[in-house]
Amino acid sequence: MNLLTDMVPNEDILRMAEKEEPRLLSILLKDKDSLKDAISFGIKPTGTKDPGHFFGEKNNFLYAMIMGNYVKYGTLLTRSAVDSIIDMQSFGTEEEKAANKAHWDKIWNRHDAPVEDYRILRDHMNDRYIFWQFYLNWKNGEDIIKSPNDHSDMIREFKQGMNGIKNMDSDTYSLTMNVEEGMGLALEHIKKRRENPNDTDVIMTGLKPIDDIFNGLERGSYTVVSGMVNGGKTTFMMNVGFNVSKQGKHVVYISLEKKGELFFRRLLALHASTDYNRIKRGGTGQWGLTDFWYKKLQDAAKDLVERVKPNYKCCQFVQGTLLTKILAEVDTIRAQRPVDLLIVDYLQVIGSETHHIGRADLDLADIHRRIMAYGREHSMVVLTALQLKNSSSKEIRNKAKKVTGDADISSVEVNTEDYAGSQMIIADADNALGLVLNGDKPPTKMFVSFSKARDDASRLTIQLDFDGKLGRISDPEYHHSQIEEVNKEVNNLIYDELMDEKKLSSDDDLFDNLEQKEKNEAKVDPKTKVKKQIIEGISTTTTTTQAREKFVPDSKMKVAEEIKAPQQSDDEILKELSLDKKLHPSEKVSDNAFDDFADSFDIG
Amino acid sequence: MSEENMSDHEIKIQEAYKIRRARQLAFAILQRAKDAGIPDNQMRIKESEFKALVSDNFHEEGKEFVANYVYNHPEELFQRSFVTIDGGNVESRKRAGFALLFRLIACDKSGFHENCASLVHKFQTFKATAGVFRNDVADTLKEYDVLFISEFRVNMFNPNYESGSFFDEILGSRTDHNKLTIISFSDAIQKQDDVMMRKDRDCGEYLSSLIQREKTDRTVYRLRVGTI
Repeated sequence: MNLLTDMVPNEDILRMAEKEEPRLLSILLKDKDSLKDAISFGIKPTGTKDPGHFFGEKNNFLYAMIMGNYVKYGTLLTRSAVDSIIDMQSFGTEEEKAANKAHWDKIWNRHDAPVEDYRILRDHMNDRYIFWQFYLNWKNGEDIIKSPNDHSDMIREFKQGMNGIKNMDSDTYSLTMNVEEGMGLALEHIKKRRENPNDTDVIMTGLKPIDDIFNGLERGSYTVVSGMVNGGKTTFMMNVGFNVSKQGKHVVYISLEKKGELFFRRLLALHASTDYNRIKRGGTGQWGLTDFWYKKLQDAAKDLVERVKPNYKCCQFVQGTLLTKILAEVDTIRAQRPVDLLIVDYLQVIGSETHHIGRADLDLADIHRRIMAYGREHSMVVLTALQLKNSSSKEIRNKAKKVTGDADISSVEVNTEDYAGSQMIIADADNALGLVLNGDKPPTKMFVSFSKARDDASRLTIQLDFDGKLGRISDPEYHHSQIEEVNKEVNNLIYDELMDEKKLSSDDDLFDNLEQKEKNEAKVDPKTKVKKQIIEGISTTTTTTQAREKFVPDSKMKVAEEIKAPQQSDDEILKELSLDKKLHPSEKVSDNAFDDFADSFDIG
Repeated sequence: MSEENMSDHEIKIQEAYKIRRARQLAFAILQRAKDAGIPDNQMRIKESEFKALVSDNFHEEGKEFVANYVYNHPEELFQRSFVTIDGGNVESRKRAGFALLFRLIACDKSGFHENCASLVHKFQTFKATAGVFRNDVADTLKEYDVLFISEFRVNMFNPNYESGSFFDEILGSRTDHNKLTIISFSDAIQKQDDVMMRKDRDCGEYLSSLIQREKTDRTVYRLRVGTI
């Protein structure tokens, strides 16, 4: 056989190619479905810079005809079509033309491979293709070794070549289906959704207003988040990533702006509910890392590592890193476990591999398209950020400044034309969210404008709680039960002259009440505590245990059972308490035992 | 992560976050009040002090009721278009107006205070060549959820200027969009009544009809204050 690749130093591979290529071609001449699959899978003939899948020259030529004919006419390549195509060719001698026609005959008549073999033949052919690309690149290694200079450039090129090897993964995304198949799948999906509405494979952001609108982000979907400079894009994506990873999903955060270490510092500050400025200031002074806050951060880190164990990875790259390199790193991570959510922060700082002179927007669109395709192909949700146009930022900021309550939030609108870069990005994306902070100093709310949503939520605006010091974005509805409590506290604070602005912006004594109550509780043995609960009925303290009851119905039931168990009268309990030598002095039972108890726990 | 899986650490954080959030919002309200033009010494006026400001014998419901209405049911005030303040002296009217403005800003609303004299002066001295136009000022004042115009007096208006029409434009738009305007009157409203009716071209139709509307219209709430 006349091989294109006489230089491949692997006889076994050459032998396999000689044997399998005609068999695969015989299937592609007869079975349209297999041919469609081969094209969408990416089986291709030799291109300008691509060796192609076929080692045999005639096989390569025949496949080019088969593919060209199907793409143009949607039909299989018949013998008469081969005649017409070859006769119309202006190149090649008569002998060569006759040989190519005879090759069709040979494949058709002598290699009658069953259609069932198609997949294995296709996969073997793809393996050889990958090997062939690797080998071509590997050969360049010799030039590096022999060269006296320019090593770094040559090695970089070599590395890019290695990263750029195509068809490493099978293309599971491309497929063609007809109405019958489509309806079958649609009904199957609908039935499943009807019977198990909670059994869903979508990714929930953990921010209820957004999840309510999207009903979770579909796998393979691509969401662009946009905002002005210092407008909370990174904070938003970090929070969504954290929420998703806490659900047990695998999240990869590509950071081209900030160091990975910094990312995790912020994450820790968020989990510890600690003002990030304390970490920045350092020291043990009042506004730095006092013993209390240092312990809080240590506890939070321990809690994250040992209990929460979020599957959250941060890949740090310098601005301008090529997308190929970034995706190669994600590939490495994916090899260990499939990635559910890929966050790219952010598009404009990724190095371009195309160079449209004077059209940087097209380069950006190319980057976006590759990330989007990557997410689709690997069935992961992609979340990426994009800047807003400067011209739009000012106008949107001014609108946001005027909005305070719920009434006017719809006036904060980020439209698709406000996004910087190519309009192709927004045109392609499944969802586009515009983030705008409100006019408070510092901001207290984040408006999320749905610039583009596949569902009917387009142009809606919702609001989220925003705390820049913690880097926390949360859902006000999630804490619905707490809204009233918070508002009541706000009303107390604004009229409390002792709480000046300095104290209001401080977090010095945030945990004081909780800690004090914890300490008081620790002094009482559990049995006494249960008895106290019987006496007090429903407690109003906000200790950890009671706070848990607010969130955890099951534990509430358990406590209720505990309380039920003793079945003692108040007198019996008092009698027993007076004999308890281990009690803290503040809990000594007097005539006003109930009141003393209440005082010691700061109840009521 | 489901709520059942929350650690003690996270529950504590959740509790502390409520306090932190309340402080954050309170701080933001103070900032908003400052931006609205409420001076430091007129900020954070408590219910008890406001009650003392209310006139002893004007309100049939009693001072307690008025103070309770303003401080504990401020959302009901937003159902109205105007709150008029009269009586007392300049200090008590302004203090009551600022107390109201602050209370309403605390309901997560935007607000602004402008002295009537300076507003009228602004409208009457604008020049065609100025960088900022009268319409710009009028447009801004239309947008605040609560606008407090203090120390209104008919005599401030000069018939040769169109200040009245700008007031009409502002107040008309605010009424149409259900935005509350607080106006304190330097003279007792009864005294102004006749003068205003005659001078409606100078101060605009809205202001001149306000006194009449106040008697029959539920959208106008009148607050009479005493002297400090």
